[in-house]
Amino acid sequence: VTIAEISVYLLAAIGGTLAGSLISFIPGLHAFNLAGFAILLYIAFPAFDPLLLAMVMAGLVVGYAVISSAGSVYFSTPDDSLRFTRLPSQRYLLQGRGHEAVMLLGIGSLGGLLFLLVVAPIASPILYQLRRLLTPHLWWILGLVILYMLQSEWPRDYGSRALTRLGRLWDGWSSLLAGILVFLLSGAVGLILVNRSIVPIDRSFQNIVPAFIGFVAIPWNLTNLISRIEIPKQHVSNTISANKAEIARGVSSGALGGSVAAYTPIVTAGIGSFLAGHSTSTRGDVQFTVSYGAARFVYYVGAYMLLWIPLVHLARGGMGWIMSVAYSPKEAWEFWLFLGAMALSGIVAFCILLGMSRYLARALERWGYRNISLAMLVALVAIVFALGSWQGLVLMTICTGIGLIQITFRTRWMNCMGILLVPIFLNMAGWGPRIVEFLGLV
Amino acid sequence: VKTEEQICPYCGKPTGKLEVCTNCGADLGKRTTLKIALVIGCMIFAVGASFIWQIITIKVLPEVPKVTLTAIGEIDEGYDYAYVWIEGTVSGGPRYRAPPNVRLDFSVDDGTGKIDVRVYSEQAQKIVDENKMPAVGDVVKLFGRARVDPQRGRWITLDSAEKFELKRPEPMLKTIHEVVRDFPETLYERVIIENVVVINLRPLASADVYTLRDEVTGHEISMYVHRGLENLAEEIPPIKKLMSRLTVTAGVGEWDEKPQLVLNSFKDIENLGRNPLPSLIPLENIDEHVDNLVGIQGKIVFAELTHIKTKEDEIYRIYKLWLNNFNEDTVEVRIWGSTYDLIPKENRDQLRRGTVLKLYGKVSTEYGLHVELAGPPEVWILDNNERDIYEPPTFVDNLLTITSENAGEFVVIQEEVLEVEKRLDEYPEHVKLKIGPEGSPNVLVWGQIWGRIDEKAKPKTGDTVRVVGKIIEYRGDIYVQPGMPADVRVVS
Repeated sequence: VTIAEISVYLLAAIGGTLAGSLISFIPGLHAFNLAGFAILLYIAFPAFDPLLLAMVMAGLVVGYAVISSAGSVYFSTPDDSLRFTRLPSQRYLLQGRGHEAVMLLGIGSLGGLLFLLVVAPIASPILYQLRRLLTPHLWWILGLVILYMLQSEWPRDYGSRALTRLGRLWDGWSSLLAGILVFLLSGAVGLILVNRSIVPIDRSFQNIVPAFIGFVAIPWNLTNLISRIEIPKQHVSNTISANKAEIARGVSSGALGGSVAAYTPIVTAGIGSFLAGHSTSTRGDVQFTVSYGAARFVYYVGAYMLLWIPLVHLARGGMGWIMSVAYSPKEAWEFWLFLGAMALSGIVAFCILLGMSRYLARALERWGYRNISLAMLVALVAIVFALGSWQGLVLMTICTGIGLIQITFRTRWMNCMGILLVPIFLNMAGWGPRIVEFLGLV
Repeated sequence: VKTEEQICPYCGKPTGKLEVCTNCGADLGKRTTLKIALVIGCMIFAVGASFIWQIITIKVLPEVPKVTLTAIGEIDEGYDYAYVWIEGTVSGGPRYRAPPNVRLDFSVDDGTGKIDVRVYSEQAQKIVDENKMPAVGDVVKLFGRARVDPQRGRWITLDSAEKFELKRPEPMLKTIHEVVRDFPETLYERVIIENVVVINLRPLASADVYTLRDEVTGHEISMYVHRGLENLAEEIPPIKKLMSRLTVTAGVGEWDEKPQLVLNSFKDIENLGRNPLPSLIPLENIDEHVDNLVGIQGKIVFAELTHIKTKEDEIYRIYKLWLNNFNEDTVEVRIWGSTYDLIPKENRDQLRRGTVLKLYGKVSTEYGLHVELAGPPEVWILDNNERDIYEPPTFVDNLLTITSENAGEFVVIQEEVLEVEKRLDEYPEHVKLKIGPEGSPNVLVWGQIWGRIDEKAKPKTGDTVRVVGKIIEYRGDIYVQPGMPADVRVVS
């Protein structure tokens, strides 16, 4: 490989980062949606070097992992992994400290990037053995994750002063039962979506998008509109209220959670961080926010990195799956190139994030939070219609209903991940086909 | 910690000289500038740049070998979806599917285990175009994605023809005897076998299996020719004839623990002409020619369509003919369904009672002395007018005289059907026609015969039927079993 070729590959990665920064602000759109379209285009016109496309995708996923945190803080358009961190970042926003929250998430992302760069060269033999050890047991590990997720829920209204015993019982159990209900309902939706395409067949690869928008983005925007929430003027600070120990602890917790999520099928950064947070006693808004920045970076980018690690070459995570259709890294130099591109893209993405956050802090004040929520709502509905036609809108509406249950009863949003956890767990355990047959889905 | 600031640096609200902002709750004593991001960024840049530098010039980091081979025997569930390099000897294939959905399959053995390799679409076509079609005995090194599925087994999908290297060893001149005698040492060798003769062709669903014989030593070996190879051949040598003489270059594979030649291309076959067909022998002398290819001639006294079920639950059609030379010596001829299909249709239609014919087959004692029709079939219809004066088997009007001692004999019976008992939902499918007085044999019609009888011609209770059949003993009872649909006829 010549220096000129390497330069082109690195420029391609930076191009991908810029593309990732653009889609980070389009609500409901994910880096994987864009990657899916790019692969379809590449398959139709396979005119250029697939490694170049893989580098663009590397930049894209890095850019999205870093920059989309700004949109999630200011516009409340979190994806499945960021939804878990809504409360801390929402608190920052309501205190006029949205920019600080974005910086914490960004620093977490940089920490996650540094973690990946340090562990990547030694990951090959470890992951090689880990894969052999864990793969036959993944189904029950996933089952335990689900069990822990459900049983670690706590009663939101515990200690209320309902007058009757029945009332107090309901206070104690309402959110818990609602959480289980949301998990089961989203699991049922998942079983249907995995086995039947609700949206038109030609767009079935975007089958899950209307569901996620319905679970997450629509209920939150509706809540913003109904509650008439007022967001104060955002103060752009050049410092953050945190010390190095908190940042280091947040990064280490996030890196652990992100690594678990990147490696374990279907476990997202939100679930991984939840498990890692409980394991490492992560506490306080600073640690939480930094850890989620790190976790989602390690989750998104680390999963794609698994495809590049020599001897491992594991297609995990959305980008890995999508890219492996067109390209599979084969030799060690491609791995080093990927790591270099990841480092460069991460730095560029962080710089964009800082500028973008300052701009959005001002834009929020100028446009008004309710107007933005309304615009987001319209944009989300339009995107779902474009991706899934009227069937997509129906699916989105059903999932919005399920999403509103978790907001009404203040249960964890993570329960909506039943949409992926239930069907995949059942399939890995070997029970899926029988249940699907019993339900008449095949 | 006291602070002199009047404005909270985080939310911009007045704080006085408090340690904690009363508006946002920020600890004003904890202040970290973005220098921390700069430091992390510099570290990231340094590490990233060192990786790029690693590619360009010096090896400052532990080098990961360019190609790390994985032992096939190690590929277990842990390798599902993993990319691996493997190196080994081609042990089976190639199986090629022609455009539009091109696919190439072969298997590789590296001494620790075997694995199937699949190549699809343009990558498969590229391998063909680059003349890298793998053959048994080739040494290959390839990179692909491993799949390990509890139900479907394990395989590797080759994504890139560029990551497929092939070395073909020089073939060695050997005789069939040497290949068979030295097996399994000869497994995966590339060999040239000179001057052998086709003594049988058995068409299977996906391949033709030839039996080749060394006319000097009498040793035989099978040769597997996948159907897809015909799509790759510019010219197919005329080898589909009994007694064709060939020189073959092929790899030595294994089938049923025996050596089997596996052809890679029709270019590897040299057609040397054709030997004369063997001479005819009297039917009464076939027991002196066991395992030999012989010609026989006779009149069909009974024809039967039947089937066998293998251990793997595969069902094969078998046609049986009984020939005699107008005397008592009746010889059974077995024809595999796939061989039967190679007989020209006009000749197939003549394979009925009364036809006089000449055919060539191998004498076998497996499941009773018989001749197995050799493929490609050489069946000559000598006289089909004989049928007009054909004398059917003995007519038996007293069914009670038929006992187990008559098993194997052919008879004609005519009786009223008392009951039709259909057992078409069990294996083997059959229909019983209950006839005659208590204790007399009934008629047993196999499902495939019953299904071929025209609906209107199927006997019903109360019909009088005339049946030409063979006396058999089945599950302890005696039956008259017709061989063909025409053997069952409703007379009133």
